[in-house]
Amino acid sequence: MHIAQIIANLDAWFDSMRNPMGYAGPVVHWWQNSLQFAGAAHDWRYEGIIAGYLNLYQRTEDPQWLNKAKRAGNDLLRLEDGNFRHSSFELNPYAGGTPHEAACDIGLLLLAKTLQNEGQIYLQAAEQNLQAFYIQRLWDGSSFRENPSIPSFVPNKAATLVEALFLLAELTNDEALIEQYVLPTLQQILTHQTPDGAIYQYSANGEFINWLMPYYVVRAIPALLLGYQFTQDKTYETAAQSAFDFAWRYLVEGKGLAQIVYPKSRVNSYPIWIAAVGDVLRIARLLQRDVESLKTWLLAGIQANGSIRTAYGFASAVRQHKPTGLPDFRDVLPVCGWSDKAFRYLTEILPAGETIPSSTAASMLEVPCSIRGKTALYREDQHAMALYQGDVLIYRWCKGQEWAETVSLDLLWK
Amino acid sequence: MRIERPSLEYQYLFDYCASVTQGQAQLIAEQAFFLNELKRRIPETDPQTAIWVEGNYRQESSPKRLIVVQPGWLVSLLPHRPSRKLLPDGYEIEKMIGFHGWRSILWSQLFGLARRVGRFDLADRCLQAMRLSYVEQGLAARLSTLVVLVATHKEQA
Repeated sequence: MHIAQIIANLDAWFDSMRNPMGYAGPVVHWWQNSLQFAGAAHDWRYEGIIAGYLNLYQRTEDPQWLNKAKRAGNDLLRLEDGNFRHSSFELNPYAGGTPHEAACDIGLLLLAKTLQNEGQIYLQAAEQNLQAFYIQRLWDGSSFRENPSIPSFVPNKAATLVEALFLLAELTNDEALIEQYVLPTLQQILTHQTPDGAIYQYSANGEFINWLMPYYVVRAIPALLLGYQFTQDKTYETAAQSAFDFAWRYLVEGKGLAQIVYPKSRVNSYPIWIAAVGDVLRIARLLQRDVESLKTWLLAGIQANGSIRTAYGFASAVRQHKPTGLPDFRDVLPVCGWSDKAFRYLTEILPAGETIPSSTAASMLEVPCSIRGKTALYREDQHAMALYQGDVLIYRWCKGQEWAETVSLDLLWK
Repeated sequence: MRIERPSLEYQYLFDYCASVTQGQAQLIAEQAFFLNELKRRIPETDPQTAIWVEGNYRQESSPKRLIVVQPGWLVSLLPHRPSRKLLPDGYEIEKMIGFHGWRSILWSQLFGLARRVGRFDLADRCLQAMRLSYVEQGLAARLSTLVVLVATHKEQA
């Protein structure tokens, strides 16, 4: 399928996931799921959605895409005490999600940058969040904490914040932001990097935690490259390249990146992300790396209704055996906050001057899958996401609602 | 201040209540913790459904559907437990679900053990298994750390 057609179909799917408060839907993740709460969530989905629509506007010059970017930006203008609403992704419904709020800021600031003088409202919203939440509540004088009550640092989350602060500094001509917050944060990220390029997932009370997550290591790279651009210090560029080298060493089955690497090269490979590979592909372009096999992996995840599968091998999360048989329900369940990564990448590689055709996405998606080892059928249309075992409905979320209306005990699963 | 979230068993519990009621119910809770977390998820009231969490229930009305939250088995033997009032008040228990029962507790203990011996890979797999086995029914539900009962009033059913 042509890339423009894939984008058109994915855009149609995103539209089906909207309600008056924004982009909604259940979430599945390594750490936790949010299958019951599925309301609009102002989290990192807005980074890729806004950036993707801006890419489309820049490449096609069609104002409908700018309008969609603005519509997404308007969703984020409902800040409460300086935080975005339901910003905790898999942990929702809670505000204060990291790196989600910084990712929302990136979306808002990219929109403000495109709109220039007309984008002040988006700039102000992002600045309010960055000042009131990140700087006033999480900055401890030397770095941004994950938990304000103890010294704690999460490099990939800080890297997302660094991207947002670079954009804010550019739009406000405030280089002091970079000197005061960005450069010390980049230094902290470097201290979390191992000699083989990996970056510890986090540290607490000065102790590195033995989690190396290839996807999140890659997410730290754009900030390092921005650091290099700003300072011309080669250290950042070298750190970015070696971080990618590390992640690429953990390509599983020639498909995607392993989930977590531990000391002594022990690995929990599954689930392997599919839609989120869009981020890896986008960042590989920044480094001019050839990762064509990942593109094939991403495109193989496209579903008939335009959505993109979330992962491969969720059912193997405990035993870590190579997946066999039907995909797990969580593999095929498309999630706005993973699909946005694919959307951003696909819109970036769209050649300038292309037009986006009408959607050819199927109005109904049916995928045989499994849940806890039992056969099931995932069914999605414009109105609902549902899961059946035989004729029995075991999960149903109506797309306009905040809470799933049917959740069997097998699906009561965080 | 960071925005704090309740522990996993309470997240299960509150999300379950919100899903069952579709965000509409009377809330009967004395502790601010319960009330705030429920209000976050259930902003609208509904005279037909009530969620009763710990504490004394003032029987001012008899909602058609009652969702009762209480600690697990041993505590439920005590005479003042909410569930003890259900049958005399005309309610029939249609569902009993336990959160964080013996299986998930066992996996969480194994998680801790694996971490202590430096096997973070196995620890994470134990954590995944814990999540898989978090919800219990039947007798195992009674043995869980938290129990939720969904009851319907016999005369209004």
